[in-house]
Amino acid sequence: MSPTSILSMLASAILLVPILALLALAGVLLMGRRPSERTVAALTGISLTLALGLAVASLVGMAIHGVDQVVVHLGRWFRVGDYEFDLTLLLDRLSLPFVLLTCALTGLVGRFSASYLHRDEGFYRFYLLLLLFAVAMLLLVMAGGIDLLFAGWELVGITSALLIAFFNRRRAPVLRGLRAFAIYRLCDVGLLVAAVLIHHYAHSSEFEVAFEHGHWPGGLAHVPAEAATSVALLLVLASMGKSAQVPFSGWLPRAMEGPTPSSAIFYGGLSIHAGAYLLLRTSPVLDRAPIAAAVLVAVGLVTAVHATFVGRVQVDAKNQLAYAAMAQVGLVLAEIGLGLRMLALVHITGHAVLRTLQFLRAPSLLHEQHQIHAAAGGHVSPTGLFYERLLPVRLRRWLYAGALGHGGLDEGLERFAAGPLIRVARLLERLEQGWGARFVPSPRDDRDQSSVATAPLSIRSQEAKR
Amino acid sequence: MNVLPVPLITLAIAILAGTALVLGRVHHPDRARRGAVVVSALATVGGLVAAAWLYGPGASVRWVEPYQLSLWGEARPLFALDVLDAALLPFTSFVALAVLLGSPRRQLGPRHAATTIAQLAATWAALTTLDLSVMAIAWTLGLLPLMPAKRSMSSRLLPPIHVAYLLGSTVMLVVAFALVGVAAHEAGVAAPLSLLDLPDAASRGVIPAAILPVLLVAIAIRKGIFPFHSWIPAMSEQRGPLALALLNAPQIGAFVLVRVAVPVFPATIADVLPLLGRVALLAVLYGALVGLAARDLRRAYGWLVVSQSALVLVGLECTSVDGITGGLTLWISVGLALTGLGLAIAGVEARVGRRAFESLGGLATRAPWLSASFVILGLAAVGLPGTLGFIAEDLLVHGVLESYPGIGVAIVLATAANGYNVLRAFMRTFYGPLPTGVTVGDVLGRERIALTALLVVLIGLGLAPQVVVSTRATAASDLAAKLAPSPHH
Repeated sequence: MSPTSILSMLASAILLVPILALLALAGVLLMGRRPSERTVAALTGISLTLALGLAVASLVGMAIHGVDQVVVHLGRWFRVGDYEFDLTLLLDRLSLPFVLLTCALTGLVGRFSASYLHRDEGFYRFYLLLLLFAVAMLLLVMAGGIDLLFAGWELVGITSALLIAFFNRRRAPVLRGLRAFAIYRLCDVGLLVAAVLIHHYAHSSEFEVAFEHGHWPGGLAHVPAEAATSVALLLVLASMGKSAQVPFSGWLPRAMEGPTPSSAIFYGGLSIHAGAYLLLRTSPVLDRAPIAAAVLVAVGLVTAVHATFVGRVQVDAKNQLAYAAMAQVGLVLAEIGLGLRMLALVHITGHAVLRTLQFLRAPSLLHEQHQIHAAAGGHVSPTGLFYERLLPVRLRRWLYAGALGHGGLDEGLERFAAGPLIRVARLLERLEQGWGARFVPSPRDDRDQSSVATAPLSIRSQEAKR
Repeated sequence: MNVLPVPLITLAIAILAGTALVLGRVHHPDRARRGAVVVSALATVGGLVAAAWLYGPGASVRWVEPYQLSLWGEARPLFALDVLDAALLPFTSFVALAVLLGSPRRQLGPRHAATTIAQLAATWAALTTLDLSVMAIAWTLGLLPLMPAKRSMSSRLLPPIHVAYLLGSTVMLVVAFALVGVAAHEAGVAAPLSLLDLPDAASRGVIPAAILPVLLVAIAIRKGIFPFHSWIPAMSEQRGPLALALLNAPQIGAFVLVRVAVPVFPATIADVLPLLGRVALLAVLYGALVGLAARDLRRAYGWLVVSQSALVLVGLECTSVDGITGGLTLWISVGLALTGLGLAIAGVEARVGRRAFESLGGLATRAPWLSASFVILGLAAVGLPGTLGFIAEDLLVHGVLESYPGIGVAIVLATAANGYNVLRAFMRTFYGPLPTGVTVGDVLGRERIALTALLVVLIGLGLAPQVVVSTRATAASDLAAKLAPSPHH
């Protein structure tokens, strides 16, 4: 067996192992069985550790054989005429760090959650979604083409929304999960359209073909200069949603409603960096689009300033961490826009590991404070020294109020975008119901007694409002 | 053109119609349902065998039945299997099977099983016929289960909105077909209503193009295309999602467009189709927008049906084979997913007896199976990766964006909004606090089989889509060739 084929098998196995674990868990739950919590945690832990081992083995193998990238052609998914959708996996200098991070962090969070969510009614649901997330994230970072990347990207978004709404007995987490999903869906439009345009110009969705001549971070995009700007801007839009950049950042602090382990893995570790990964992967397009790169730098820097500014007034540990993560990702995007790709990759790796740790420690913060006080032999008071003291008092108060209101971003989006849209929709729905009510209601026969019994509810509520 | 050794299609339709008559006399609803399940399962298997044979190696484009019959003019074969309809036969019978198996007992009337099988017989006849009069009869009979019973006619003159719209579309269709027949007869066509003779006559220019708008309005109403869409959410509200799913899944409107309008109006249709596609786009956007304001499960479902079904027509207007294939694949994926979602909604209603979002919530803990099916099937309708919906949307978006970039962006936006609407309906129903007094259980064995079958088919075809995509691509190439016979296409 040649080293290339061994490396290909290793790469496929990295993805296959969590898929099998996910199928096993889903299958058992579908059959109505409830395995013990320990079994579920062990299945998750073992599968992700195994995937991590395979990823490390791939790394070592690639280093020993001096292989820069491994491309695995799993076969053709489907084909219509000239349009082909190939299943290709790609392991290279960019995807390997992300694969290692995904396996390691998800595995650790799986271990952490075994105690954290012990006897929670959503224990099994959490692990199912965690494994689905691991699969989706691996698909996203190992995808050899932008179509497959999109599939992983979508699944990450859905898993994220379902986990934000995890504690679903209360209304608030549910609404916040929906809000995050709305922003994801809106920004995903950018990725889907960009994917089609890349295919259109390069006649392939495969990165290997579309960005040929040299491995990452090199490569030359087969996109004409006049189209590169729009394609790159669409990719920037997509990454702004997943990576919570201004003005689409409002969902991130709200996402903290989810359980702490999922906040750690999604918004500290992996999902928040998916946007950065996308831009790194498609960096040959950015190279050809200086305007889009400038926009990216501006978005990143504005987000970093905004998040630092708003984060300073947060009184909740997880919210502070969320804004800190947002600020760092803003800086990462600015680095990508400036062409500092390797720096961005190192920054992402360090940030993901540190932030995941901080999130996981957030619930024990009070306990630790007490320990510090006890060790110091009494209450440790704040120094009262902070940079804002340098500003005049009135300006400081004004800034404080602005920071508490998230810089007016959410209010602006609601007032000028979401609000009018919903109002138009409600008006049309009222008109439609009025038009329908001009006709007689459905006949009351045996078949739809149940429907007739409940049919007038919404009509009645509409009429009551009128 | 090849000839079938035995009139298999006529036999199948006759067996289905006969079964419907027999089932109509069975008074025990469970017994009738069991019979209907067996018949629709056999029909599905039969349809699959026919499709496998037709699309198999060395297959031909069209197989006609051995006998000929004269309804007007010379005798011609009445039914045929071809690359467009062969895949739709097992699809429509599978949809009927899933509904029969999975609908909650509370929503079953004494005639439910019989009418579902009768509707299936009419659908198969419409899908396979080569004669416009048979198609008009099948189109009309397919609506019969929706007609109000006499005893329930109220003092008001107007019928329910969906009945009014569908009757209107039927009248337009019959008028259009009659005008085509008369024009062909006057031009000396031997069999003026046969789709075997009409294309030839049409190429001689004897069918006036003025008939096309009448036919297109009939199609637009039946498809629920803006501004003729209002009956779909109203029907969902009044008759429930399952009745709508059964009526909508075969997409008879789109089928008539492809089967009749394209060959009979070859000169005009290529110019009109882009216009129709743009009007369908309005329905896609409108359904997605108004769906944002839906306050109950049934209306949310209705708007999803309006939006996602109109996408099929948007796909058909593409100039590329992959876009048309996307539209034809979406035809099947949306039909299956929306049937499943309809079953899940019916399951919720049967358990809780409510459907306004404000009075729902918290079912996920009580009915985890139902909630998982709801969210997966709902998202499959809007292109969840791993399901056939993803493949269909991918092909469609590629095809449309390449043909018309602006429309491509619009449909991606609409699909994004629909995805949000599905998740909103899911979370409002299954998450949040459980309303007081709600004590429900999860799906029953029968419902579980139906939902699992739909999930397995959607996910199985999503992971290995080539089998469906190939059959649709064959039909799409056939259609593209009819639309643009010039060599550069």
